[in-house]
Amino acid sequence: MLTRREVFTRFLQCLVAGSSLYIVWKYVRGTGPSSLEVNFSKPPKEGEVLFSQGSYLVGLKQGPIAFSARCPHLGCRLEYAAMVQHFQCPCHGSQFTLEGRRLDGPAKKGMTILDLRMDDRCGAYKITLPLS
Amino acid sequence: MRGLQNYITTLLKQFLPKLQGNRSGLPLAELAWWAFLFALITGVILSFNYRPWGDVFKSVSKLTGWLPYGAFFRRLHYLSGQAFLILTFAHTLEHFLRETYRHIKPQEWTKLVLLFFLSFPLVFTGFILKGDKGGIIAGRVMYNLAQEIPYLGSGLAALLLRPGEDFFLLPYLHHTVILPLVVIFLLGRHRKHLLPKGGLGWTLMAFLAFLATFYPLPPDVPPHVETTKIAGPWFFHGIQLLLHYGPPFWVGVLWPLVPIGLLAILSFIPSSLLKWAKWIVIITWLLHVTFLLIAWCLIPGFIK
Repeated sequence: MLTRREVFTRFLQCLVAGSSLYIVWKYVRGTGPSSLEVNFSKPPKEGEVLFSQGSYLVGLKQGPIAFSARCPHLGCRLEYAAMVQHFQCPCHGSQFTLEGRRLDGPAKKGMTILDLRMDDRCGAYKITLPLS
Repeated sequence: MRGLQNYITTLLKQFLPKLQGNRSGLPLAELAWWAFLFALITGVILSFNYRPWGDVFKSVSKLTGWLPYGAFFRRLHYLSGQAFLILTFAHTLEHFLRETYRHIKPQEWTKLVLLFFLSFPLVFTGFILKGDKGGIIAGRVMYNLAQEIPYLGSGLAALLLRPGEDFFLLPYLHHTVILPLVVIFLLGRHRKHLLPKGGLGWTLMAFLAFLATFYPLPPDVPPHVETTKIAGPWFFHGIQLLLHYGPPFWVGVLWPLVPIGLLAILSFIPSSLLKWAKWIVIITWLLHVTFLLIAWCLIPGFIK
């Protein structure tokens, strides 16, 4: 037989655990944006690398190409090393060419290519960057 | 093996006068509990001025640079958290060496190891909440490592962190509500008396306050600054090193969980196998320490 104190304590424990789970569940189920619109106001010159809000726009001979700045290995932000003209991961050392191909390191694939659109009115480039 | 064990035991007897039996010779548990309390109190003080949304780095910079004693409380919070982790480790290690798991109820031992395990996510989420480049990347790595877990990965990752504008909210919830509540609950079950005894606490507080006055925090790197090397929390450096070479699930998820998992189940293992299990635990922990030391010594940029 439980005492009144024990019943009260268990009730409080259940209340705290239940409300914490409820907050987490409500939050996880939340409906935030799943992608982000990134704008580049000018096109890159050949060999030029532009960065904005988690994405790179690279000027190549065949035209500009957009990449996610997240490393395909574990999601660290890739940095552009201008001296050697490649992208590198500051966390685990993966390296990628300007075309996004894997050069070295633990990443198993190349950089993620993003869909690139050009706004005909102002000549700006738009990228849809997935958030997850 | 037996010779080495005898040597370590004799060596420890110099420092631990009451090595026999379950009773601890050192007040490590008491000190760990005090460190947790300081971290809790300073955390509450900091939380009045911390915002886990918007520009978090700016919020932390303002808290550190502009608020009176903000930097001091942040240092004290950081040092108390580190002290909790280290003292919980020392307390677990002491009882492991005393072979307490042979004499107490299995669930009591598991509670102790679980408390030790929880000190890591507590410190890790604190590292993320700094909001600097290291914190953001640590959060992303944690999220992606969780996703590597077969079947459960995406669900678990969604519970840990949410990419996008609300990046810091779930780590904040874990750091300030869920993990401290679980720790308090387990401490209440693990200890005979919930509140720590006085005396030692004042000494520890004076020591931490002294350190917090002079000890500089590791520098916060603004999120937009380019860096050639990013390092996670110090206890993660060995795993970060291994992640250069091995598959993320094996190296980043299973490998850190193996020694803790083995430690947790020690008291459930039959006595005939216990000797082997103990040595496996020792070897896995020594390997972890070795990788940590290699990361610190051989790779430039891990410690700044």
